[in-house]
Amino acid sequence: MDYVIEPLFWTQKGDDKTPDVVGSGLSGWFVIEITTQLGSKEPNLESYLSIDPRYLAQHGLQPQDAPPDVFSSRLSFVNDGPYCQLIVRDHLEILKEERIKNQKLKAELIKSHGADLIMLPNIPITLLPEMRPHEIRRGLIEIVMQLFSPESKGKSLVQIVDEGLERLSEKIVVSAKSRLRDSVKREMEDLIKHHLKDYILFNEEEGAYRSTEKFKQNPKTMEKITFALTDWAGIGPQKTLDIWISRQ
Amino acid sequence: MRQIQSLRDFKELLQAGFESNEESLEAFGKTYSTQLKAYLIESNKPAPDSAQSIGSYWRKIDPSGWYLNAESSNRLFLDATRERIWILYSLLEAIESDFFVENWIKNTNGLDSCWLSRNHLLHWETLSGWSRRGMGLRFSDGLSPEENSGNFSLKAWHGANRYVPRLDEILNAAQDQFALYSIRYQKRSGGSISISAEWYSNGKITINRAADVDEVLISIAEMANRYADSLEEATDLRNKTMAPFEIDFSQPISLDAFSDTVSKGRGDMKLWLVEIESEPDFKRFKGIDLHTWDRVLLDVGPDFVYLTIPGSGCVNGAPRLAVVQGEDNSGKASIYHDGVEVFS
Repeated sequence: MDYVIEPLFWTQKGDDKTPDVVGSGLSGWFVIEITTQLGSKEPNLESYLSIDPRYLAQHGLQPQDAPPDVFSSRLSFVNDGPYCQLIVRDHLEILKEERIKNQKLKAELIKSHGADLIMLPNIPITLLPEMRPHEIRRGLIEIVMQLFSPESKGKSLVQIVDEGLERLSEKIVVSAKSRLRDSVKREMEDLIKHHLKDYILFNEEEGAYRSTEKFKQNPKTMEKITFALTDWAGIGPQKTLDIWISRQ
Repeated sequence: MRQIQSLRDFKELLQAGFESNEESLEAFGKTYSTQLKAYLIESNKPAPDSAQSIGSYWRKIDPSGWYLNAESSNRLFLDATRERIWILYSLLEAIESDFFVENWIKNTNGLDSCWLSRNHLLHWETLSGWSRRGMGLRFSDGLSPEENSGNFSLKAWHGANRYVPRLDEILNAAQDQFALYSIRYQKRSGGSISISAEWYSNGKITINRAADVDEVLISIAEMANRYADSLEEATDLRNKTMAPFEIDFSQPISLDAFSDTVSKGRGDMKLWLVEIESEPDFKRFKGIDLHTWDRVLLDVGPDFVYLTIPGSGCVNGAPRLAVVQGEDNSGKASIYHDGVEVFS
């Protein structure tokens, strides 16, 4: 099953709809709304049922002729109406699975029910379009560190975003990627102006971020860069994932 | 001595050394020619010509990809016939030879040692004619302060185990807990020893005795091919799924000491990382594998590490982390990807 992130669709009445994830394959298609907000998403989910499935082909997805399976995905239960809900907290929970029409997808989801999500390993994707400034900074840390490679020719904004999106780079619609580039540019400007101003610059002619000659590959300088990046990304002993979630 | 001009010249040079050592062993009970050493090197370079540094200018002696180090007076040779795994052959004395390899790798971005897992080292036990003659175990406790460190180092030559009751049991117990850093094997053909060699976890091989140069080169190439297959398999798995490499250790990891080491980019681990989350028994890091400057994401628990390598990054960091962390601090290591044991 192939998928696209934040694709634009029209309903049969011509209204714009941009669900978070849309996937389609031979066994059917689905739409997922991912949210951390506490209000019900029932109206959004209901509206996705009226998306005209012929537009799937516009995004390189398998065309369909029936309404999709609709899901919401959350950190804890909120009543989103008569739709399947995926709870992604300490363990994966599948609620209202009887609503899923695609039997193959249903069987796979039921198999995954209860999967342990505590201490879930990092995944290779470090940037996403909906990220907030501090999340983008975290997502950029190791991409910025690569600028200090002796063989680095620098990185353009486009390269930085593509590397952070990794395998999602080709799955994200052009407009969302463009918005993400703007956000990344803002955070990089802050890094250069306030945190690593002697070590990283933006070369206007090349259109690329580069390291300066001040960087030397020795433990003292590397630790200094580590601290500067930690500070920039707002990482401290109190800011663990659980505490961040509890503040939402 | 005339300059080596071809692969055949190189083989004749090695063969003469083996025969000279066998003769002196028979006559005087010891060898006098420098023993052959080989080093398996993981390369992300297209050819040795692009891995030049001080003291390492390579001249081709065979079109298939064999080179002579132009400044070594016929003592350093390179088999670069494989894309990812090169084999450096050395007739230098051990200290000089190790120093050269260590510096060449350190000063050349994209080169690394081949970090042989326990299963790689034990590979010869599955082949007929080979028998184990010894092993080396190491636990440096390198992350503890010197006054509190509990080192363990053992090098045991096999053969007389029956004279000491329970010796086998003790060796097996130690082998189960500590990292295996070397292993010595012997191959017998026609009633006599055809190869006696020691294999190290950092990809070094010492040929103590040998009868036939082609048999020696093929044995070393066998391990290079196995390692190349392991790298290809691990890269393929990484490309197909989101799963990380999981490295399990038999001893606990000192999380604070680990964090302190990697934040400065120090040591053989070659990792430069930023700690982004911390719990009493878990830390999360993001950063760089200094071998290739590829991105890496690390989750470190009490006795395990999850290593995620985004994009097309080199996966040699997984066996390096297993071997270096295992020998330094965390004992026996096994590497898995999505439940499948890799580098085995």
